[in-house]
Amino acid sequence: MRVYSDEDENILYARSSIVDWAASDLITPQQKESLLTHTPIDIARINGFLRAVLFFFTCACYQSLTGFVYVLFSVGIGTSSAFIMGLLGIGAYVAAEKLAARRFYRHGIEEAFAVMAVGYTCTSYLFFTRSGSASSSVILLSIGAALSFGLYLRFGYLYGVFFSIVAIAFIPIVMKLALPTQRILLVGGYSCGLALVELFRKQTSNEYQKVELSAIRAMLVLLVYVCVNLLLTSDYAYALFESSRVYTNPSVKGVFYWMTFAGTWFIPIGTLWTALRQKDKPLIGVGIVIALLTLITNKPYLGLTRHTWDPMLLGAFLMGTALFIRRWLSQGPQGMRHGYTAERISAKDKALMGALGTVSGMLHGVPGSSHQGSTDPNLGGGRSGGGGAQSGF
Amino acid sequence: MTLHERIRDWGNKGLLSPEQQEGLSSLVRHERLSVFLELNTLLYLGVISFIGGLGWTINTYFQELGTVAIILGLSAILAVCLGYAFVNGKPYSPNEVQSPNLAFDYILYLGCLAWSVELGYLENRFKIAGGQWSIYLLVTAIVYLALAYRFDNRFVLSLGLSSLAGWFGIKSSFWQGSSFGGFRSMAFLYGTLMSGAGYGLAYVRIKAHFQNTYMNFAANALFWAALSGIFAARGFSLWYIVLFAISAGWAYYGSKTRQFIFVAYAAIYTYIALSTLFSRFIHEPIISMLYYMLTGAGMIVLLLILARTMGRES
Repeated sequence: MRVYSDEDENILYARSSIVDWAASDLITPQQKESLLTHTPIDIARINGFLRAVLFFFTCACYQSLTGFVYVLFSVGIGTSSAFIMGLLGIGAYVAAEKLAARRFYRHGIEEAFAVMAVGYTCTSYLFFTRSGSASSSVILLSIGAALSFGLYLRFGYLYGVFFSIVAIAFIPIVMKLALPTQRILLVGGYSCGLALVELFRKQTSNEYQKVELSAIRAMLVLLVYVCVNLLLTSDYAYALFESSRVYTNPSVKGVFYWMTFAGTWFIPIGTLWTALRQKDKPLIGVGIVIALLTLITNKPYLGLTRHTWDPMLLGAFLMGTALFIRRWLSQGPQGMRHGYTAERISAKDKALMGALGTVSGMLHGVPGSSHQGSTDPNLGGGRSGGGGAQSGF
Repeated sequence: MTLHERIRDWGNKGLLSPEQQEGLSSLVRHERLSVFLELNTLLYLGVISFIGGLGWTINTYFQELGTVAIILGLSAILAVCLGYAFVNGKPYSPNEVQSPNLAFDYILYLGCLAWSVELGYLENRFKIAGGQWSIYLLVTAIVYLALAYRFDNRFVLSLGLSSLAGWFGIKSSFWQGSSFGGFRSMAFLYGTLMSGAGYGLAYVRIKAHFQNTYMNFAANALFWAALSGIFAARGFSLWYIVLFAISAGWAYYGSKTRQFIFVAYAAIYTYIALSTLFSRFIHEPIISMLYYMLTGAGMIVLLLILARTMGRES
């Protein structure tokens, strides 16, 4: 099924590990070269930035070709348009297959063709039906979900799985099912997916597959959480943006509402517990993210008034937690407890923190930009200093 | 063959020492897992959340809290953070200095952000500098850069460089105003100075690992300055030549230092410039489509050749 063999993927996984070990000073540069020659492969990988740029230009190029065909043949919206989009979708898929067969691996080009093949096929269906009915939307989303998942099965693109599970999430919405039914169906479906992933994880001995399945499991857990937390993805989300008002519709705060509230606590706890027991990095990451979301949405969920100092308390809690964990781990034998260490092992971690450090100043915005001309006696200012504390004072 | 089996095989062939074999095997089997990244992320988010809440609280309750309480509170945070940094920090070295502990960088970062909030409050409340924010920006930039070099902190360096950018006039409000030319010249000056400073300091081996941060700020400033010139002018202008020259320079730098982000900047900005020029003269849809098709394909081939020539594992 997969265009790249298990051996290809295993070798690529081994080579990327070798590069990381060398960058982390776990092996010498000479050893790195020696180990790389012992894991030969005819697939070259390229830099992530270049991959993104190539993806962009491939999309731009192919969409221009589409525009060219439409202008040249004066194609209007209709069956002919659906036919052309379908043909172009097939063309994109063939291009992706051909490039993959020529040992292109995560080069951006073959990825763009594969992604466009899915997009064009869905657009073709849309032009063909020209209907906004619920049933046609369900079919469209199902096609999109199936084809996106196909991208993972054929090419190993994890974002294909992500697109797929997000498309599935919209199906109960376009069917206009009642909110509890929507959420129960989605959580049930994703839970079945989780069980399957867990089954495959236990069966496989390939490390690269374990890594992929861990990532898929993390995505599914995230989606389950998003479905359960009503404050993130429903009409009640507005409660997040109202600091003093709370949602008071009595129909909302029934058993279902309070069950979802309990779920917002159980899921992060369960996720972190499982992730820490299994030492699963993607799941640990998702566990932290959803735990944070629970803390942020807890007060609006309960209908409690939020205060301006809540973020301060959250910040202090996060810093305190991180410091406590670091201290606890470092006091263990050899700076380690239960196989966990707070010390950096991989060079990738350092590179990521360096990148965050570089962009952090840009994230805060250009400082002082909104101060100029501020004559508001109420001290209605703006950002201050490089820190960009965006205050109005 | 799994990675674990390969490690055993390499060990048997003598490619890895027994200690390395054992160490790498334990990593692969996840017997030793680092949560360094997760703890750093929690600390970073904690600092950002704390400062955000602090600014919001002062903004909302400045009358109830009173000036004295606000200034004392912010000064206390600043003093504690800086005091901690100076007491616990390692001595200055022009080389890379590892933080004494995980929290160190973030405590300094928190202090710097508290300084920004305090400075902003003081000026808004008392107009000490008469609304001359450029003075604050310059002072802040100098303080941040000094602290970044003293304690080898990339977060604070980034704050310092963005404060300096503010002082040079690279502000979003300039885009809406009339001083478009002023913006460009200041951005050019900033970009040139930053690239020169980054290169020069790395050359004399003073915190050479900061070079990448300087270069990222410099490249973006220079490209945006040239692109703004292109957008402002009608038809062909000298700005195209300037942008192509900048692109060539950064593409060369990126390929020489194997930092593809600069090659990517050069490719994208050049493409935007060329496409802008083309769209000004050609309004025929079919020719436009043909242009984007051919140039897109050309860019793909060019970048592929570059990638294959330089051949690098990501």
